[in-house]
Formats: sequence, structure tokens, C-alpha cells
Amino acid sequence: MWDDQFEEILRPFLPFLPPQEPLTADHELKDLGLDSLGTVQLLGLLEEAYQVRFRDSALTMDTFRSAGVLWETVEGMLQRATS
Amino acid sequence: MNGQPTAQARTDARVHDLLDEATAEYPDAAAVADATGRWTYRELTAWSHAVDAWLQAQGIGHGDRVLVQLASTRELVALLYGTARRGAVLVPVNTGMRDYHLRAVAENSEPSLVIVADPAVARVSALAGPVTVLGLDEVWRAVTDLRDKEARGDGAPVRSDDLAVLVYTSGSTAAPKAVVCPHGRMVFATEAINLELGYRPDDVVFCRFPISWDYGLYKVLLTAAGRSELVLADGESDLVLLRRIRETGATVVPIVPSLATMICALAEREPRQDSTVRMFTNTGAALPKPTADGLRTAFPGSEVVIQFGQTECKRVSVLPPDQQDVRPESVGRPLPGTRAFAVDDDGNALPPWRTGEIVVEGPHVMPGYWRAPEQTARAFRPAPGGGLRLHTGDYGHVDEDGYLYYEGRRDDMFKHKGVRMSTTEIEAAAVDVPGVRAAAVLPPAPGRDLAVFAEGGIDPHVLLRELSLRLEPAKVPGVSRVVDELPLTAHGKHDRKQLVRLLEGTTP
Repeated sequence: MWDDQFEEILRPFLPFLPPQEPLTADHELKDLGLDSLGTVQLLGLLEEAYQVRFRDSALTMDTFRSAGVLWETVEGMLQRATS
Repeated sequence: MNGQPTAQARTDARVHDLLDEATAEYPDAAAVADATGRWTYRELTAWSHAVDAWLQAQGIGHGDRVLVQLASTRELVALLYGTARRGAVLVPVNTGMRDYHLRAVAENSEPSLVIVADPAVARVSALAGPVTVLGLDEVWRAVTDLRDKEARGDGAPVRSDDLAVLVYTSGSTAAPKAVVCPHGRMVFATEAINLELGYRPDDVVFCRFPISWDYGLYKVLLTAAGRSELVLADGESDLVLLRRIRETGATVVPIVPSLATMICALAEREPRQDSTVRMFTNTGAALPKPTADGLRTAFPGSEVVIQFGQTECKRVSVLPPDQQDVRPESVGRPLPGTRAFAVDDDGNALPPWRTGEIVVEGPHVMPGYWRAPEQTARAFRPAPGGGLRLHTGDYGHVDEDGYLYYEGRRDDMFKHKGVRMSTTEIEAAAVDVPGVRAAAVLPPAPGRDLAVFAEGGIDPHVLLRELSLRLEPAKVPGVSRVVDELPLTAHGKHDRKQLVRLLEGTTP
């Protein structure tokens, strides 16, 4: 499961998700209101916060499909950075 | 782009003449590319003839409407030109259009044929009434057979005043309405715009916008007029926007402010010194100066052209780059061969710097709205000197040299994310949501996002989610508030001043 920082960064881009409702790993982010501009901005914020860089192959809508997939991608980069 | 162009745009040509002329001149030049491939002008022409022949075989004739809800691919470009050859009328609707609106468009346009993506056939058949609904794959197999046989339609006459396209746009009523676009006026608008923009044979035009939107639609015609290549990039991930612009060697990139913001954000993360882009062309809303500066920094050597318009005449004005420092607030000068100026309430032209409604005259003014005589009579009025005068509903003024300055609107129309919409249609969609008794919408303003207020038992986030099921993404508000009671004025209308205060949290 992701850390608090991840959810703090992600939630503002999900206007359809009530604050009291939990963010689940497989809910489609698009259905929660993530749009293209939000996706591009989210990319920049995640890279900055975690000091990582998304590879070109990860720059797909699929990476941003759900919180679970997105966190897996970030986590994978973190592990590569520390190993 | 210095000085007023001296050449003239034609009024008597047909949409497919643009393609045929480009093909005669540059048959083997690249005409259109999408994610899966590229066609030369010769190939695109052959496909458009095959579409014409196929439509004829389907019994589609002069004036029949062909409604398409399709992604912006090469096939859609061939369908546009093929329908034009047939003398039929293409009705392109956004792939993001929800059933709620699509049903209204199908009822209003009364198509003889509907073409959609294959998975959508059953769903669209259910809402479109008795008309034949076909999937693109099936259609394209038949069209491919005809192209292999070099088939052509019977060449039934098509005149420049025949309708080529119905462009659905948001109106001041809840239901969408269509601007009727005859061949001759579309070609005139295209050529007049190109006198200002100057698309050339070595241009690669990167189009992120759908062909269902007139901004994307006219890129098809403009690239033919310029003998340029059109790259259709709608439907691709915006995360790779910058990479695709660089890969395709794009020289011209049409933008709206939100797209420019995305390009700038991506360029910051992946800066590069070299760039092939020579021109960004903006429309939809004013481009903030930091965004324009960001583009010029990220793409050294590029210039940003400001444009202003509405579907009813395609484009009102273009501001040449050499005028931007001289008149930074201007939205440009009227297209060559057209007029645009401010008038008072009685329709008299106002002197420079006096604010009034902006009206437009010229061969680019479309003849009206489809099957909406009252709305047509309101917006398209007889011009004192003959022809039509379009009342845009936009307010502003001109300077001594005739350059236009846009100030705002006085009705419920506004633009969000580059797309025109009205508070009325969003309010209507909100009231359609179970649990909502009444709704009011505040247009966006500097420092304030588009906002919806609802009265009823619903969570504000759920309301946005429900609206996203009924409206295209650009029309979904960024802010949602549920209130016990919507504030009303003494006349029983929504008290928007009070709503602004609610939003700013100054009400206890």
C-alpha cells in the first residue's frame, strides 16, 4: 500500500472522490475526475516528490489508470534507485 | 504576414476542390498521418472517391445527413471528403459526447446513416431511432474493396452553396444546436485564414483536437489549402504530447490555453535546445502571457499567433505576431475580405474604443442554425449593405486601425478549456441527476474555476461524477457545492453575486 505523501499528492486531482471516501487501489482515476492536464501535472509532482523519473515506456494512460498501478510504478522506480 | 494580404479567398469552391487541387499539385506529398500510418494526397483522394462510391451504394444522396461519432483518424478525413463529393452532409460528433446529448443530436439532424466505432453500434442503435447504424470496421472493409477497384461515385453535381457539414455547438438552450456550413463558405473561411497564417508545403501541422470540433475540422481543410501534412494526434496520451510533437517534426501546433500549459509542463521536464515548431496558433480563450512566453522559450524560434472566433463564421480575426507587442490586448484584425466591428443596441457601428456587441460580415458568415429559425433570426440578421450580419454575443471594441478587443459576454455563454458552453446546459444536466432539486452554475473567472451549486440531498463530489456521465469532460465544473437553498434575486433568478460570495467563503 502507498504512503501518505502519495495520497496527499493524488487526491487534489480527483474531484469526484468525496474526502471521507477511501481511495481504493483499483478505482479508475479517470472516473474520479483525473483529466489530461491533471495527469501531466501529477507526473511532475510525483517526480519531484520522490526524486524519480518516469521512463518513456511508463508515460501511458495505463500507468495512470488507478492508484494501485500508479503507486506500483513509483515504488518500482524507488526500489531501482535504492538497490 | 506583414501588411494586409492582397490575394483573395474564393467563395465558389467546394470542400473537395481543396483536396483535388492539392493532389494535382503535390500528389505524392504526405497529406495526413495518424497513429497507425500516413497517406499521400493521391492516396487520400482515392480513399475519398471510394467513400463517395460506398455512400452512393448505401443510397446516400444529395443533402442526406451522415452522422459520425468516430476518433480522429485518416478514415474520418476520407469520410469528410467522400461525403462532400457525394453532396451529402457530414455530422461529426465528439467521441466524448454522452448519450444524453447524442440522442438530441440524432433527433435534430435526422441522419440517413450513422457510423460509429464497432463496440458502440448496439448502444447507438438503441438511442438513434430507426436509422441504420454501422461500425467503422465493417464500413471500411467495403470501402477498401471499392478503393482497390478504383471506384468513384457517379459525380452527381455538388454546388458551393450546398451544405457540407453540420457543426454541433453549445447554444444558449440546453439542447445542442448545429451551425450549417455550406461548401463555399467553409472554403472561403479556410482560404481567408490561410492568407493570415500561411500554411506551406513544408509544414507539418500537429492537431491534438478532434475533427468533430471545428478547430480540428478546419485543420483538415487548411492543410489541404497549404499543401501541408496533417498529423492527427487526438486520442493519444497527452503524456507523450511533447515527444510526438518532436518525433513528427511538427512545424505548426494549434493550441488552446490548457494544451499550451501541458506542453510547457512537459517541456520543463524534458528541455531541448532545438525545435522544428515555427508557429503556435491559439484560440478558445485568451492565452496568458506567461504561457505564451513559456512556449517561445521551450521552442526557440517559434511565434505565437492569437486568433478569435466562433463556429458561426469559423473565425473572426487573427493577430499577426508583429502586432503583438504593439497591441498586446488585441484579438486581431478581421480576416481579409471580411468586416468585424462593434455596434450599439440599434445596430449602428460605434467609433473606436466604444464598447458594443461585436458583429461580423462577409462570405465566411454561415447561413444560420439547422432547423432553428428563431435562434437563426436572432444571431444572423440582414446586413445594411446586403448579406448577413452575425451578432456574436461577444462584447468589445475596435481601435483606430480596426483591430478588435474582446471584453466579455452578457449572456450565459462562456468558454472553459477552450470549449464554448452555457450555464443553462450544465444546469439542465445537474437537475437531471437524481437527488438534485435545483442547480446554478457560475462561469469561470480569473482566480475562480467553473462552479456548480446544487440544492438537494447529494454529495458534491458525487454530483461532479454524475455530471461527468452526462457532459463532455470540458463541461464538468471544477468546483461543486451543495447548499440548503440557492440564493435568488428579487426577480426569482439565480443570484450570481451571492453565489460568488458563497464560493469565496465570505458568507458565514
